[in-house]
Amino acid sequence: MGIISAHGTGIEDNWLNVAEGRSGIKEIESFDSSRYRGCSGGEAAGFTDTHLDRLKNKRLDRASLLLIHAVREALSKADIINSINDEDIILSLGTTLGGMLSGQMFHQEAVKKGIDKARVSLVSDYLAHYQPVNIFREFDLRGDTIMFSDACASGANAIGYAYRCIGNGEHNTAVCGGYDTMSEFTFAGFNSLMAVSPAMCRPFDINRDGLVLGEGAGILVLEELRSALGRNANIFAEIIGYGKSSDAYHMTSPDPSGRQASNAISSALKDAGNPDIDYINAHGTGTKFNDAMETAAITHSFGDRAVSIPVSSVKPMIGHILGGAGAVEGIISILSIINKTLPPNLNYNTPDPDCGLNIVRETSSHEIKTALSNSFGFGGSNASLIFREYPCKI
Amino acid sequence: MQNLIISGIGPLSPSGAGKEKLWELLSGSPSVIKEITRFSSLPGAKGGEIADKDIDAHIDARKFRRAADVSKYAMAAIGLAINDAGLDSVRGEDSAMVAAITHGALNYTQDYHESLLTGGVEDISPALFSDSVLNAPAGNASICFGIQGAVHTIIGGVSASIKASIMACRLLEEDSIQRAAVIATEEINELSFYCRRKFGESIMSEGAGAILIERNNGERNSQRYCSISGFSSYLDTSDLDKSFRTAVDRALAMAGIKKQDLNFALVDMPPGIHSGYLDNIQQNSVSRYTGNAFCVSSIWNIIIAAYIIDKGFLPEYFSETGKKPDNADNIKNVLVCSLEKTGSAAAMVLTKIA
Repeated sequence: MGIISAHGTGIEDNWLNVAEGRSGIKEIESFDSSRYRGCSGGEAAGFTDTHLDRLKNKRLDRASLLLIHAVREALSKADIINSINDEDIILSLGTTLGGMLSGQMFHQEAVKKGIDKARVSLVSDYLAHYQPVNIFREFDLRGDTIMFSDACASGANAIGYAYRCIGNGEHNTAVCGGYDTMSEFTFAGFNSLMAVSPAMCRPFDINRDGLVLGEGAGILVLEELRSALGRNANIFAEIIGYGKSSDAYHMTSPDPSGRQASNAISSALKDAGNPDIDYINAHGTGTKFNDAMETAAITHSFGDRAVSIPVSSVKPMIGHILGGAGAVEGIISILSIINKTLPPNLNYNTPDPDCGLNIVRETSSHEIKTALSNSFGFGGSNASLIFREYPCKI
Repeated sequence: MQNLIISGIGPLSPSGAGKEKLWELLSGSPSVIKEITRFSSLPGAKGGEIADKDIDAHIDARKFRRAADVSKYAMAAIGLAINDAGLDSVRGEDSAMVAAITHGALNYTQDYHESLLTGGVEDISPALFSDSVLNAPAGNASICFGIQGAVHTIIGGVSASIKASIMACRLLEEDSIQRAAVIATEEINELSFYCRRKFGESIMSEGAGAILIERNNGERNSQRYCSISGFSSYLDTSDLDKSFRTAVDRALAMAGIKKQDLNFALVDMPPGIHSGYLDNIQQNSVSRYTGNAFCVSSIWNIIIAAYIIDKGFLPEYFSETGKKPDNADNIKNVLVCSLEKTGSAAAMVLTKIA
């Protein structure tokens, strides 16, 4: 696994900060956010550059740099960085906006200087399908790529797709995950939708008033179990379930009934053989509509058990990473299993009767064997993943 | 792989809406490549534009009147494909959709940036943002048609439509769904036109295309254009020809046929790149007659390949003789394939239903 977020670079730093319940949300540094409704976010401020073996930094968008760094960590942690190019792999990635910082710069130059003065070199890494190509070039990979843009469910769907590719024997190794950067384009867009909190992100709290944006990347290496055992790999966890659905309701609002989000959860549970779930890493954006909808979906899927399963969202700590959220939060779910620790849902002070779930207020030890990670996005895209401890002691 | 068929096709191209219009374009109709009217900043810019943007004829579009052109095109194309398949509706959890996108709603994105820079935060319309995200066409189309199975957006160049079609086939294999719609949609934009011209591509196009894929299980007395018998995609950034050959070979192997069993190939290649791998196969591409519509070019190729197999003969511009053959039943296998300058290649074999 490889991860970059407002909590830092790498698995260890990220988990330490999550477990200690720290917030990585600060006033935005990369652009002037003072004129917006909310002015804070979860920037990966400590990340400025990464080591490159084959590519040149000059033309790479920050999205590619984040991605390359996270992929390198994941391949190193999986101990396949020197052997990954021996076989055809599948690279399955998700993003909402691709190389938007380059795109933003190009659009700005076109508006300010005129179309013929805008640098065309900015365009190539603006396009989202160039980032997987950059990964292939940097790590000298061969095989296949797929690039999902399913809004905030992109990363989860990219992992789910890779999981299926391994499960059906099509590939032996998959590199998968998601990413997005902090850009003024995105920030202004969510502000225009009045979706950004002017104060803080407080999922499931009655006073919640919006999300905070984040940036980062999460990458997982998936491998067929026998193959991983055969090479004595360090196995972090198993993926045992994946479900997806679509609301077909509204472009920016979730279906309040939570019916289709529940279908994604229930499909994942069915796929996993209906295990007991010990922890739910919620999508939990902190918007009025999402959290009420997610509560309805969880309640619909788990029935009476819904009120007892610990639930938390890590978005108050690292922000909403959009296309990267499903992947980064999937990794945090796995780390929760490994460390038998429930991450806290920061800023949860006043329970909302419409969100009657067992919200985790403080970091606590818990016997987590299985974790469900939810991702729900614009356009009604829903995806759920289920992770299980390895070795499974159930 | 299950026996999957294409049961509906819906192209919205510069030649008009529907399969007949696309066929006519390839059968002697006047060229649709004209001077671009969308913008005036690039004098002499030529391409294939969608002339009639009124999609009310294809769908009940009142709810989507503020949607970007890419979304409107996508919805129109799906409406055409549903009608073509003889279906009343694709509403519900047993339908899925996969969209292919290269650039997305660039005109809204451009307007949005301009508003932000010139008018400030207060000047931005929220719709410009929500409808400019890459999955907006899929989101709008899923809402428009009530599709509640998996809905994905696959980003890529010309290969994206083939990859999206492969994804749709996978969903039919893995999920409890009855059908999957594949759409591809693009719109002409002045900034992308400018950039592409700098990269050596001079004629752009826009529009959308949709296909419906179903199982060939006889449950529905549906239109059946052809079966999808093989597919593959591959990337080797250091060897473009190897990428192309690998994708084609794997698709042929999956279909259980050899290269010489192909009757025709629809091939999209980047400017200045040629693979000799299919030199012995008669080939062409819709984009030669419409201009480059990126991912939409390859869905138009899939659509016309399905129609060729159904009709049993090639349209005039694709035919070596230029005439309808006496024995109009001799096309069994058509390959649709593409290669991008990044090395991303994809291939799909469509086969006549026995």
